[in-house]
Amino acid sequence: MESTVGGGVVGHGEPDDADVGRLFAAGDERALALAYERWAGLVHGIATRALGNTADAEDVTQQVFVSAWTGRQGYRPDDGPLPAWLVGITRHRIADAFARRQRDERARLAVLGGAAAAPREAFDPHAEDRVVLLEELSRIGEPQRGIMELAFFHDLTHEQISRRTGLPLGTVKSHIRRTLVRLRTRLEVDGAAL
Amino acid sequence: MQHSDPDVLALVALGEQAPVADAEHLLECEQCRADVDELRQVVSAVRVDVTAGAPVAPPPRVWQGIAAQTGARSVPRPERMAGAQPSTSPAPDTATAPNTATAPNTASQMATGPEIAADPGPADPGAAGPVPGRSTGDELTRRRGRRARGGPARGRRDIRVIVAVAAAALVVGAAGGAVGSRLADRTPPPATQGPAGPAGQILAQVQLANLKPATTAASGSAQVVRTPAGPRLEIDVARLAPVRGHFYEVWLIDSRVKRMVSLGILDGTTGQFVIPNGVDVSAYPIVDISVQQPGDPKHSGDSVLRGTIRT
Repeated sequence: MESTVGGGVVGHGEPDDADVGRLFAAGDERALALAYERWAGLVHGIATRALGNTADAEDVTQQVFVSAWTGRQGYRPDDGPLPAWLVGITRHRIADAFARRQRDERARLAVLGGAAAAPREAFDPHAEDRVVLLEELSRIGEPQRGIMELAFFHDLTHEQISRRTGLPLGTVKSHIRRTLVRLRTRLEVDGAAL
Repeated sequence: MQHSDPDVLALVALGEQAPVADAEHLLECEQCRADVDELRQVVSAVRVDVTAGAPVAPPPRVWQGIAAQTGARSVPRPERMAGAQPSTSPAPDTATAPNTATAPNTASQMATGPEIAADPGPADPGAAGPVPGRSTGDELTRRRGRRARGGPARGRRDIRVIVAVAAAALVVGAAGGAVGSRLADRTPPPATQGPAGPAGQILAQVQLANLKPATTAASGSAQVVRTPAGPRLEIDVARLAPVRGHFYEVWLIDSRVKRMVSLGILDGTTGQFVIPNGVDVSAYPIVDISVQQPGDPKHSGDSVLRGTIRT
């Protein structure tokens, strides 16, 4: 039952994790609830450890499952377990949440006047750069953005990315290099402007 | 000496293992090492370190939000939730899994469920794309980013809209206490109201993010509905406590946060608002609910809920 979704999979008792992954990828709606039962705790645990027990963490958990579901075409059961993929998405959402906090903080300081150089760095040395970089990343078109998400947050190698996206190895490699250079340039420009 | 292929250096910066020849070259070539280090700065700023650990079960409202956004009809069984019952291992573990017979509701649905089997899901049509990450959160993030970069110099209102959190916290802080008693969670809209619902009248739907989680537990959703009289924006909020001497106003804001249109005052927990002629939600995708003071026709900059409509 390689990638087939039959009554046989879920008909007899509880599907195993791999079944849930296949059902999820196949768009079987029951798999969303099943995945949530099994891995919402994992995702939310990571989110609360990163963001505190906050509404931000709840948002992250919610977004992870929503974007996993709407983007399920991007999940290939053969390439790895579903929870690993969910963790990749979680890392991206947490990075976004950090960036959002940083922006809010920056804006708050701007309103309070002046003290924009408050020592936030102690908390997160990359906070300012992350704001700039994630914004730039979100502007990059496909397939580059998807490739970089897989490389940054899912820790896939270029070979795995090539397999997953169906793009030739050379194409993946050069997209990665060009995008990283673009991001670095963006950082330099932004740094100079500040 | 021949330098390493820049493509390879980029992969090394991402943490991939270099081919032997390149690894040796990197040992002796300062320039290539410097190139890697530069790119590595980018990588480490984007990536966040997360720690896996004990599962933490999210509160029920998280699933409700997911169901509202995806139109999911199956429901997770609380007794099955990891956190209450850890199951974080990626490896299948059917041997120890309790039998289905102990899980009445969904299990029986699952056994019989042809009516929902293989349903691609109502939220599907707009969801193409090879990778995850096209949530409204992304959109909002991007827009926030633009807005933030606009900064005070470029548009004063820009900054006021996002910011003013400090002031707002004072205003809504009082309300926060009242909200603390935590009303029961609202039932999310029925799944059939998804964007591809049978009626075909709901053109778009979005969860509104709480911009002030520290002071209010407000949540809400917005949907664009087609009616014979023209498009309407429907708002549905929960736990949006009244603030003495203030009211809540609904806005549509353009993606650059330069222009905005007031749709009217939100009275109670639901409202239907006319989307004026000439205002297209694809051009004004941000739904915003602000706390307003009587007498000031402008946006107060004090937003409580916000979401970005995907069209």
